[in-house]
Amino acid sequence: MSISSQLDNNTLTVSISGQFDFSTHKAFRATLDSIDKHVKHVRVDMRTTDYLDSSALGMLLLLKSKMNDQKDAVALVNAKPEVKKILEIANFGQLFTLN
Amino acid sequence: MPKQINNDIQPKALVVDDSSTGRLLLGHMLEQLNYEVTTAKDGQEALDLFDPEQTDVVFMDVEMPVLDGIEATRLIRQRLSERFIPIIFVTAGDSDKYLDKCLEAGGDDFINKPFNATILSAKTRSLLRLKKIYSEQLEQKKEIMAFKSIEDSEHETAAALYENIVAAGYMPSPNLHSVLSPMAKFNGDILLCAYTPTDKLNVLLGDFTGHGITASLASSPAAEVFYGMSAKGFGIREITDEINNKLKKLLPVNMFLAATLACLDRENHNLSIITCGLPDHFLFCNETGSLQTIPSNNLPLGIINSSELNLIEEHFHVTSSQRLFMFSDGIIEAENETGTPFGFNGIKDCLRPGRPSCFDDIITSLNQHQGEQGQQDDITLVRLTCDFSPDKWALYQNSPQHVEVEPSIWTTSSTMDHSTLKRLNPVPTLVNSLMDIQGLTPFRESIFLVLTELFVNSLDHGLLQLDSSLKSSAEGFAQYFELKQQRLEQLSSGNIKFDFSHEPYKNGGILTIRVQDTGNGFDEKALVPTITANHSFSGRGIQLIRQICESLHYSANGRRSTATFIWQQPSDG
Repeated sequence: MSISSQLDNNTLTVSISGQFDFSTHKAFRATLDSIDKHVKHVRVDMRTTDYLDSSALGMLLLLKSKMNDQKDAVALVNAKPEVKKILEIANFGQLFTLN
Repeated sequence: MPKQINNDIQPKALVVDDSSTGRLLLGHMLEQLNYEVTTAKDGQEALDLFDPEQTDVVFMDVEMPVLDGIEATRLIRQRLSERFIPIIFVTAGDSDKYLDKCLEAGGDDFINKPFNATILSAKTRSLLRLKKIYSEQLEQKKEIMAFKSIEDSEHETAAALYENIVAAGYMPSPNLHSVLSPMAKFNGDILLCAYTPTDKLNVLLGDFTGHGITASLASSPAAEVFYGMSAKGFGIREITDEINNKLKKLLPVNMFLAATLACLDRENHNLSIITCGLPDHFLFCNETGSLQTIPSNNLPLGIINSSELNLIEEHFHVTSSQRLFMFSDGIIEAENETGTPFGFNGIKDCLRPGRPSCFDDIITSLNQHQGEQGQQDDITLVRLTCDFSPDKWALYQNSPQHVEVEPSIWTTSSTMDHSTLKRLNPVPTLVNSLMDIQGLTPFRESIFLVLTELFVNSLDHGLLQLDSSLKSSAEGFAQYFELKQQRLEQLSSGNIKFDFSHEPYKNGGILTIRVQDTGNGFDEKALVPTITANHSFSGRGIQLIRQICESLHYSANGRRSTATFIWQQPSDG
């Protein structure tokens, strides 16, 4: 598991590799803390995310809350089919931009 | 030569040697290295002087009178048990033969006479470092053990809490079969089951994020809402809304409840399901083998406000051969030796027609899949059998009780306008107020049933203009409910008025219920008996009301229905 993030203009891209679960909690929290008011959009890049558990879904909700619950503020992108399936079961398309 | 070994404290050495020259020489060299030195002339004196708190390293001669170095070392090690203090054997040229015994007794190193100060310094430094690491590890181990024992007791508390919360209102049903492993409970899986006053079966399977105490605490309000509202006759949509409401207020942002609520309706042979974030369910017919996948189509509960939730409720017309299989993700993710998950296919493969128990097949197949590598016991599997045979129902009828309130004369009425009807099923609330006024609790179920039937006819056929003939086919059945939801959302005028009047009669009273709507009216004779009428068990609907009530008649072109219900105190005994 590893998290890296990159700020480009107003958009923060957060890449999560490997298992996105409770073990990611601390690193993800640190990423959340680094978000300031200049960040208008967050792209969570899941190209290399292998797995997502419910505590990861909880962390995404924290991110959404950090971005003041704006639906289009957080995009979950490049998810592999098995990861996308988990997001779809939770119907997170209602809360985030999925693509 | 470095003088300081430990920055904070002067290290303490115990030198054991029967030769006073030897003690003096080594003691002096150690003092040069900044040690505080204690000496002993044989093994016995060493044991007497040895204090684990006051010793950092022991230098032990091998051959000594009274008690030799090897035996003394063995005894010191015994006394230390888990603690580690380095013991260095002091050997002369001829003592090679003892080396094995020295190590076996618990020696850590050797130093040869005559002593070389550099080697002495290096050896003691490295052993002291080892001692430091060792004692730090021991400390950590103790902390972990303490932590673990706290956690174990929390597990127990969580499990006990969970058991009490869930067991408090659980009504076992012969139609509901389940396996919930202790680990699954600890992980926040919950299963709730209750019959409503009109004998519908409500089931909730849920999976909380978080586990242990957290999940147990959160399951308490969910269970309370579920059991409380089921007992009052609310539908799963209202129950889901209310649980969502409670959890939204209660849970931190990152926690939620993935859940499915199902309601099996004996009267209509209808299975209603609201799926909120659990893995796909399967509706399986063990006669034809047909398998329908029911994916989750709502958000998990406790994330957004109920007003934004827009719950999708699905309706299936079911027969007694159909079973709904539900599970949380533990069973899907259970891995075999090569890390392959059991998956949806693992379950589907077991769902074949004509097998005595697909449920047992799934468990057996899962155990085989997991094999020798230790079962992951995070397993929740639930089967809801849509069996409508009478012995599976009417299990919780109360024995007749006395009506405690003296029969009296009263009337009451309420009017619900279109916007109220959109968000509220008024029946439970109205029935509750009748119970309060006249204490008719023993007749609650009958009154509930009558009022529900009159209200539903008024709403569906009066205000919403739904054609009940739709319900005569299985496809039309689901369409009917969809259309109802749609029209209800679009309803922009109209109301339904409820009048209740009561007067004493013989050894009890007469309750008159009048329900009137502002719709276009309908011909109650055109109400087609529901499809279930073709089955051995006939539809309950209006026929049943006629059985329960003294009279039922429609007037004002079907816009007004009036039912009179006569109750008598049950005879004692």
